[in-house]
Amino acid sequence: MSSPHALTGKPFDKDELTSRQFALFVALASSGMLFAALMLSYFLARARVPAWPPLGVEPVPPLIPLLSIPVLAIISGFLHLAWKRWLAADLAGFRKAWTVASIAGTAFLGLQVGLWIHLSQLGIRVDANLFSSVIWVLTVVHATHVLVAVALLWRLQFRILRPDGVRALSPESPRLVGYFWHFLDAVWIILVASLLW
Amino acid sequence: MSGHDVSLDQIHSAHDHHLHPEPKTIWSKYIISYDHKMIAKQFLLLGIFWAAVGAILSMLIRWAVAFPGQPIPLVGALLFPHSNGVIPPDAYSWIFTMHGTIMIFFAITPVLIGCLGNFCIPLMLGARDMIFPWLNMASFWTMFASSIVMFASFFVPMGPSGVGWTSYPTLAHSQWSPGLGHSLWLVALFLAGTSSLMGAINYVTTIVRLRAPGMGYFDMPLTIWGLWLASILNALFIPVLTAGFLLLYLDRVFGTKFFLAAAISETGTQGDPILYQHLFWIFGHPEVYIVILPAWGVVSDLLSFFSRKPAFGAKWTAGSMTAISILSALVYGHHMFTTGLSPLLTSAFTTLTLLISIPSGIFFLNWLGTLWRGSIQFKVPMLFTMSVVFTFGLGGLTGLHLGAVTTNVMLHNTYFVVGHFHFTMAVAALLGGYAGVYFWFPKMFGRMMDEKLGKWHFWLSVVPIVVLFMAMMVAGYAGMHRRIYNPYEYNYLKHLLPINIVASVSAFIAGAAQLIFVWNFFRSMYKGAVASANPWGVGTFEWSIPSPAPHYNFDRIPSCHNGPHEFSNPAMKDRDFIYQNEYVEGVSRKLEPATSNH
Repeated sequence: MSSPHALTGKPFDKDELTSRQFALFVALASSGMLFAALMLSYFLARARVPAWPPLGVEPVPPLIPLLSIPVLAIISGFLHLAWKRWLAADLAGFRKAWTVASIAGTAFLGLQVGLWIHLSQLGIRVDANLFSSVIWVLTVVHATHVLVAVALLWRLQFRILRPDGVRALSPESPRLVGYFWHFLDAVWIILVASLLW
Repeated sequence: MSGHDVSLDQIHSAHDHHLHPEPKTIWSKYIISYDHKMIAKQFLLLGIFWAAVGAILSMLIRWAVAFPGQPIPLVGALLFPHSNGVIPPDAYSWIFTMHGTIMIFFAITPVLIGCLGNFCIPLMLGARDMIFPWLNMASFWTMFASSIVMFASFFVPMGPSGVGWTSYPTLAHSQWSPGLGHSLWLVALFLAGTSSLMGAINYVTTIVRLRAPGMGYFDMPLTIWGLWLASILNALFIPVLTAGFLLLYLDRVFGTKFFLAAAISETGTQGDPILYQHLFWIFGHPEVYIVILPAWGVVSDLLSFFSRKPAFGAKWTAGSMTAISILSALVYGHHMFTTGLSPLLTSAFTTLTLLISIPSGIFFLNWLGTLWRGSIQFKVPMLFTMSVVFTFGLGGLTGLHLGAVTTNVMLHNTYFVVGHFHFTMAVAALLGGYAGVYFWFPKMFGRMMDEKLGKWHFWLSVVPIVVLFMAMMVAGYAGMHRRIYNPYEYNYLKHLLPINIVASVSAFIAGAAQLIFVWNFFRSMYKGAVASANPWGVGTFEWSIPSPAPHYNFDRIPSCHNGPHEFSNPAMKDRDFIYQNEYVEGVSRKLEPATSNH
């Protein structure tokens, strides 16, 4: 049963599957198929060579991809915390948790840029060979999604700084942004595991 | 009937918060419109434009095949001045490429999914608009942007894409297809895919979330079932095609080598052109059903409407369409039998492909069961509907030869394949689209299309079209390969010239007949007989409101008491159908006031 959400004043039932939530799940399924198709391409390419990376090709330095995983975990953790604070109508707590998530999201993008610079320095360019092309495509497509997710984080971040901005929010918005990030976390973990393995 | 409707106030539908005000200016009404009905019309006009372009290209193909080396009459010198009006070989390649691309992605898709989907889904569900009107508008304008890019590709140096609508590498690589044409082709299809994806998310969510109170899934018209399943397939498989196009684009523009085999790759790493075929056909086979499912839905409904009988086995029809949708995701390998798939895989794909004939047979028999002993009204929409039954039957049966590896290998890449897929995903879809446009035209524009012109259009289209594609299949069975500029340079194909002339003349007649439709369509928009609210005597929601459908569709959100095919019920004395939102004692379901799908 819907009741007014304490911070926005809008009807809200946290257990109800909303239309926007449903649409997001459909969109994530689509996005999942895009990554699945790219991963399929990667695994088929990999299956055709005796060694991976191919002989004479520089492997991916693991530090930045692995470091990105705890950063993503921080984002997801704080988004979950923010959602709990949002439900508890604790605006201050929500703002703090959301701010940490927004900063961490931006940091993840920074790490991605760092990874690409590092790859370029090692000669792993997008057109160097199939191995490096795969790495670039997968990380860039993921980062494109992350860019959208970071934009959503900051958009909401700026809106919650103002009381009227909070009231204008849809009560489910923080949850939807959270779902998107959880999805991107899962994709990154699968991606890193398969690229480094 | 309205006495049993559930008022908007009672429903408190969440999506109503996003409803848009009635547009007052030309700009907001006709251009940047949020209204699903206007967006449907935009898609329809865009589809008609591209269908005209695609049809002209098909005429050029048929001219080249039937009269090789001869200048095109009247316009030849204008189109191909450097070859004295004769279609040169390179132009022939881009003509058949653009014909296939345009017809599938820019004509059939906008008409069947963009137009009929947008128009029918809210109206047939009892909703006031799509659940995300803004996304709907964005979907159209993304498609429009895609159209501009595709249109622009005709005018770049070296011409538009000429690698076939399947865009196979290595031919599609920049080394073998230089110039901007194919890169623009990829960008245009990326945009078209994005548009379809936006539409798919909107359609699926709207159907799940905005059905009228009391409307279960099996109360939905089968048109909605077809659109729903097509949208699910779109949402899941367009991204796979996008992945293939993305990698191909990177190969062309950024010098990657995803689809270049080791032998020709400069770096020696193991790119693979067959990988592209996997990605393409993982999407490509469901695409056949994405295109045809809406037409199947329309046909399933219209057969019932114009036979004045309930749709025979409607739940089984819906179930069969669902089963086919699932199977469609598992059979793509039959497009790749000649690529050296393992015998185990070819056997598996053959078995799965032939399994499709079971649900197909079920709904086909249901169609015949619906017609059986019906009071059939041979109105124009029904004529087109019955032609879909016939042509899809032909296409479906010839599909068995291509689903089985043993015959597929012999027929691969021949005109038999071209004839087969034209019958299924082109002719059946096109005729289904015509059935839908003739049927819903009164609700779109408040006027009737001319029945007599419609019948001329029907006979002058269907008979030649059947001759055309039957002739193609015969030529293909005789060994004629597709995409050959001049087949008669091969001795073993020389005797096929007469049958190709028959096919081409048929194509020209069918092409000319479309002018009758265009005239009838635009003339009827302004001068057609004024349509009543329910000119066909049908009970689905949209026919319970005035024609044309008003802004916001329904004064009050209707509630659903009956299925969509309630015909010839003895309880009705004054007419032979029952509205879905009408309560008839002893026939209809009572609806609890609290019942809502919103």
